[in-house]
Amino acid sequence: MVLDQLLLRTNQWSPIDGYGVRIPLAFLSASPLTGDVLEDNERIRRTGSRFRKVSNTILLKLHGSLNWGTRYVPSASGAASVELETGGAVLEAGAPLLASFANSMHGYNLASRVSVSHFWRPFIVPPNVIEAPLNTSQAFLREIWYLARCVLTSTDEIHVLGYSLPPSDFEAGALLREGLFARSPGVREKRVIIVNKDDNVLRRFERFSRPGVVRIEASPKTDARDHLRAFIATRTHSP
Amino acid sequence: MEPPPPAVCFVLGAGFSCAFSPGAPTMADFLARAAANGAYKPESDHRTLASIAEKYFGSTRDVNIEDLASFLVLDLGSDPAKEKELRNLAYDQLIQIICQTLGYIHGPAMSSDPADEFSSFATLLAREGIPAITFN
Repeated sequence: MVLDQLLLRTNQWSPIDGYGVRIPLAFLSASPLTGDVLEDNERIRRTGSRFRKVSNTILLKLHGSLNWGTRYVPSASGAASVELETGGAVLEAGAPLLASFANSMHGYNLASRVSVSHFWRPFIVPPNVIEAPLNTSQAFLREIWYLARCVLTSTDEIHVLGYSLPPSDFEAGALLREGLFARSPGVREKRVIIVNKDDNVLRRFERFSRPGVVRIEASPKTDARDHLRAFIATRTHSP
Repeated sequence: MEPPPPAVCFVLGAGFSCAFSPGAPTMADFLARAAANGAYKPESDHRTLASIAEKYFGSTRDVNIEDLASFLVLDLGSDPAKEKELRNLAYDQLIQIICQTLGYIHGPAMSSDPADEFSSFATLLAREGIPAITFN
């Protein structure tokens, strides 16, 4: 949820159209939304899925998100699709909880002893379960994974921050392999820049190295903040 | 003629969130940290989850939550003993703990002004249309 929040603050990204796929809004919300978000929410409820495009970039969350969820009970149409709780992308100032969960779980607060949500389960998919039998939710997720592959295929500079490519994450390994080695017109040799303090991570990525096709390199900055600072400087000063 | 600038994307993992909120838990120490801040109550509210963690991972706290989550939703067939474990309920409890713990960790950092480099990074992504892929 960190990057969602940061992007939301730019006013050039919205959870409504910023996740790469269109996600129906959850109708169970009585969330303390305010301002534009509430208006957007209400307008979309009235007008269906029509909305103005806000997001200028996409955030592809391959293992789900805490502001996405599925109902325990299917909707009247019988669908059990993933829904978006817009409030979940907005943290209440100073509050310790994510806003959406204050609404989507009965009595869910710090003092509560209620231990499960009653009608909405956040949609988080642990590794190794991606290939579970296909259902509506998984189809939704596959679309996001497909988009991620397209992104990896069509870019030639990939910065990997804080991702360790654990050996057990077979799906991620396959995604990287497909994304890195599919040839896309106009894409040069790909540079994959690893930002990690653990040398083992670089070694794991080096198995993707192939001369002229994919170059794996360690960032001179092993700290994510330092790397971001250096990256921002290069983009700011480039013509 | 200069070549066009490279098309860039970012792949982010848990380490990115940890850099944003120093002190954020890792997958390995998540439950221990959640127990420390009161989000995880293995002796009361989350006994179902705790008993499965203890039985299959040998500890109620020192368990990698990614491994635990995968274990809880993996379908390897059923039997009456497994039904009694209420793995669905345990998974819900785990999700609740994750939500609450992340709220504790990132809420205060997000409610104040985030560090310059993170705000500038998000602005850059949004302005230049740089996609980001997250694995966490």
